[in-house]
Amino acid sequence: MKLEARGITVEGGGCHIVSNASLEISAGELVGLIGPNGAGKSTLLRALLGLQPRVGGTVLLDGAPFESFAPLERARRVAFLPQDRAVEWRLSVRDVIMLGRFPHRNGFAAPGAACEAAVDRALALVDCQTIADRDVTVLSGGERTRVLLARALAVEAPLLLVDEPITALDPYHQMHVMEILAGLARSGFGVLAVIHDLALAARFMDRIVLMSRGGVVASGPPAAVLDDAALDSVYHIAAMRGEKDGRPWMLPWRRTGQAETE
Amino acid sequence: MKAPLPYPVLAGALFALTLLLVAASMLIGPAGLGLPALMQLMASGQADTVWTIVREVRLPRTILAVAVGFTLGLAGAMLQGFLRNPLADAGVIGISAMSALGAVLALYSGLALVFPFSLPLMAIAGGLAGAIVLQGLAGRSGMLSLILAGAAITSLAFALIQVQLNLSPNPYAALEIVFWIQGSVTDRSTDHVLLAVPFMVLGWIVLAASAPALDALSLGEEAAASLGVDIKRTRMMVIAGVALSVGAATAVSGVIGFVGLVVPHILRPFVGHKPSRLLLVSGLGGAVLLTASDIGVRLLTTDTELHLGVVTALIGAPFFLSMILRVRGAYQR
Repeated sequence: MKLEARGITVEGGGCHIVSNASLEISAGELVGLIGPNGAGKSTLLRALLGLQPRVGGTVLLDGAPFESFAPLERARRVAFLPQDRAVEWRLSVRDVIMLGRFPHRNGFAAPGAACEAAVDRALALVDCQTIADRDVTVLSGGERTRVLLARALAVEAPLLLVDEPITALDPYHQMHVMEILAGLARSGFGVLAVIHDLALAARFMDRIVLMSRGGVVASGPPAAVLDDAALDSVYHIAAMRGEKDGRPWMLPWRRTGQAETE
Repeated sequence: MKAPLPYPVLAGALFALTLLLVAASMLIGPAGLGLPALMQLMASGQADTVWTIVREVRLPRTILAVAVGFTLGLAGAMLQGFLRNPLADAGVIGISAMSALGAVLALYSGLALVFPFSLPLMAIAGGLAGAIVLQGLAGRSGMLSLILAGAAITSLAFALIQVQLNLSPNPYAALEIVFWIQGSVTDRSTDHVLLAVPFMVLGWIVLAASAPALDALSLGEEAAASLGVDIKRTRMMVIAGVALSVGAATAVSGVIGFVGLVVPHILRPFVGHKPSRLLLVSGLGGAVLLTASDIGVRLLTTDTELHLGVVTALIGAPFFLSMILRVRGAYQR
């Protein structure tokens, strides 16, 4: 399974929010979509899913135009965790995760055994079995993020797109979520995550797509994409670097110039 | 959260309660024509009179109380689920007032006399216009802005109704419209049932068809769309279904407020807070509330019968205030 975006252009307020951006995500890899605030990451993600109208470009799923699939077929192939983490009603954790089975269910029938089993698997993947009967609106930030991630996992789509999965989480829960995403990629899912934390991106991602001012400026292994020149020109920062167990690490260290005003 | 009662038990109990109240509504009349009086008439060989009273007076009234109550409860639950706003209700957001405006236009212009179906159709058109204006004003921009937009639409609708009352050449016609706006199912005929109930049922069917999307929508529009929910189509169906059912209900009963606010709020915990599960039981709960209130106004021995809409407003408005206080504390944004 492979999702490809070619030359995506999205307009808003008279200018290009995303211009001529291309990327792809295949089964078995964890890809980080990074870039400064306002670079167009979330917009590109939504355009990939068809949630954002675009003025140019194509999105292909296994070579066929994404739009040629019916909405439910699309939903069964590509799951999405949006940035908005609000759940309006006091649903139980289990009921929230069951919503991920929507594309597989006949809306009026009670969920079958297959759906219950998928929810159990998703609960186990995010380590939330013990809170399955709790009210989702009273969970902590870390628990809520994992529950909503489980909701996206319960779709059991081969591809998963997540928008800022670790923002506002403490380091323990950031690590936990990143380990879950890396584990998913190892077990064959394709995962594309918008992420701001460069250190964690360098630590966990198989590949990184770097965006700046609406365009994709680099794509490849973390060490190659996040070199000193790119950090300076895109982020206006410099980083400390090193290597641990054969894996390069980096730590953002100081500013090198002025960020563009958005 | 976990539902404390199995869904079929809850729905079954509310259905049974509705049937019980329907039976009571057929038998209980205003002072002097209660069950004993009816029995006496029957015994004295005036069975025809009894049948006429029950069939021509109480049956239409009861059918309308059940259908209007079901409509208001269902529409309230639907609007709350779709807008993800526990304060949404056809009355609060101005759809009832706009429907009333449409109906008053049909009554006042005399169109309803020439072409009876213009009454429900104009009311439905009014409701539709209200829903579309509301969508443009507030969309999904937070709980309280929706209420503000609803208040503005309601004010506008009532201002236009006042113009017609003001210009009315005939004070009796104006008084009739005032009474009608107060909301009631008294003195309705079989014609009223035939005019309105088919549109209400059509509205219920349209609303039921969009029910499965409601649960997915509790995650927000983007997540729901990524799960395969067609947001535009769902929105159109909710607007059409609410306008059809509430418009038709308002056309024959006038403005009966707060049923769609109070009933879903009370029943929500009993269905584990699931928006789709709330629809049927809220409809039944609305039918129970309205039929019971209508029996209540018959039993109250006031010289002039209290209007149903006055009673629901007396119960509902303080409830609405308390909900706003709670919402202000809990979910302000």
